[in-house]
Amino acid sequence: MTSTLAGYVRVASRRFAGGVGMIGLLAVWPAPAAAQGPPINTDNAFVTGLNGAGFRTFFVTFDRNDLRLDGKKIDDPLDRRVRIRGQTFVLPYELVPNRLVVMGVLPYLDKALEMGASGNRQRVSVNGFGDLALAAKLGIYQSDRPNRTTRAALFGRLKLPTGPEDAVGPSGQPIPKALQLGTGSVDSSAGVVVTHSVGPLGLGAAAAYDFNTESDDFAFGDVLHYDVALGYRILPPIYRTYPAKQVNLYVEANGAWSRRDTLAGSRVPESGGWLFFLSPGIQFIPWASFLVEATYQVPVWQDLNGAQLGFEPRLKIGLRWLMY
Amino acid sequence: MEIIGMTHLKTFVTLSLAGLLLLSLPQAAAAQAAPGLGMLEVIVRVDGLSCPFCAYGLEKNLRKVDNVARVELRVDQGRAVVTPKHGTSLELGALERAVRDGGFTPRELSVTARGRLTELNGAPALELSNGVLLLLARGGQSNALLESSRGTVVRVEGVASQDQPKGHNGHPYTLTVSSFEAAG
Repeated sequence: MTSTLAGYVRVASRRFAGGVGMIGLLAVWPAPAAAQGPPINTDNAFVTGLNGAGFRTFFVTFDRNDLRLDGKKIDDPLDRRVRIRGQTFVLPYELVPNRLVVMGVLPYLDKALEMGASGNRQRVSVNGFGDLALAAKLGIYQSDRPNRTTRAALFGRLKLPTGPEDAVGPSGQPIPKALQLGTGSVDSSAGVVVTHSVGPLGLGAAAAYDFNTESDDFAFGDVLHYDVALGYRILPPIYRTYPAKQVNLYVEANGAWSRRDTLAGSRVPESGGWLFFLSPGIQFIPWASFLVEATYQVPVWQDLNGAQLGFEPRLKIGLRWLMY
Repeated sequence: MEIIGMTHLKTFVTLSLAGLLLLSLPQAAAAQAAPGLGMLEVIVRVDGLSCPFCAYGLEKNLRKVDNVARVELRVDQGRAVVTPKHGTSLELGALERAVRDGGFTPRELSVTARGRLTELNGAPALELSNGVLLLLARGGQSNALLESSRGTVVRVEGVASQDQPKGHNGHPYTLTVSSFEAAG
């Protein structure tokens, strides 16, 4: 293993994702169509409220610091630290009233890798817009009763290789794939979401599968997402006349399982694995068309394949604005 | 002002209003309509209204319906209270479509209207503003009531259902009146 950033980048650039992997990038993608209501990290089955254009954006930040092997921290002679910041923009449009929502998703990313001994730390970073994704959500089931509803929807996403994937490190070699702004591949996702809401209580569950394709002999592993959300409106205790200021609390479980990346058709040992976050969150709705929200995602379980950098908690802060 | 209460009404009046017939009366007849006639309020029971943030589209859609002056969403009651512009009427079908397009399920429609009792093809009807007739379906004592009150201005409150009156196409709403009073 090389001990310099340039050397590391040179080795890691095409061989593997540098111990970061696709699973680490998931946080910059929103729940595929969650512009019109809670919860924060888990999609919901509503396809309403957007006769015009809505807008959602959120900032997410997380680090990957400690090298782990078989779930345990191990010594990392390179002392690698990855920092990822993202500002994601989502613009949905209700194409068919109460049936079909389509949207565009574009993240602005700032990624950095730092490594080396103290006093001789070296750093490589990139920033800019990542890949553009087009997504859609189709309502397939709706059962309404007084003050309660149960709904289901299918969703899909097509991610296009619009982000740059040719950033280079100090040696002039491309930096690791997972640190690039774009993946270079056309990837797709499909999933299902179910929402049940009774008065102030909301339950949600979603599952999705990412089909990642190859680009330049490299492909990130496919990813299975599974999310469960429990939300409760604490204010107002009784919601009388709309609109009223509203505060919601959430507890979400957000998991992902990623297959190993592939390089020239071979599995990369140090990639993929299981990841599970417990995510408390809060949402404040001051006006009918506007909300702010924040969630702190704690990685309560991470079982990553081979030696990979572990996950630190993720912070996500965002707003949603229904524009008409 | 004479008020016919619920008991009296149930005994002597099973008054159904068969939808909104957007029937243009002759100009002369319209010109003779008394001022202030029209719908006063429509309350739509909205099922599924448990996600207040999602109600933004519901409110917007209801506001876009012709002649709507005001919309109030009572989330705890699951009701949308729609007030028409003074002296106008609302198309009940448009209200239901607005609720569906807004993402929710419309149930019963409670209508409060002020109009002149009249008759159309032998069926009792309420003449509203601008030539709009709110048909009163045949049945029970309604014809007798019509005979005794024909030509008078009344205020009625009723709950809409979607029974299809025989021989009447395109307006599948029947209102069962819950209160009825002479309005001078």
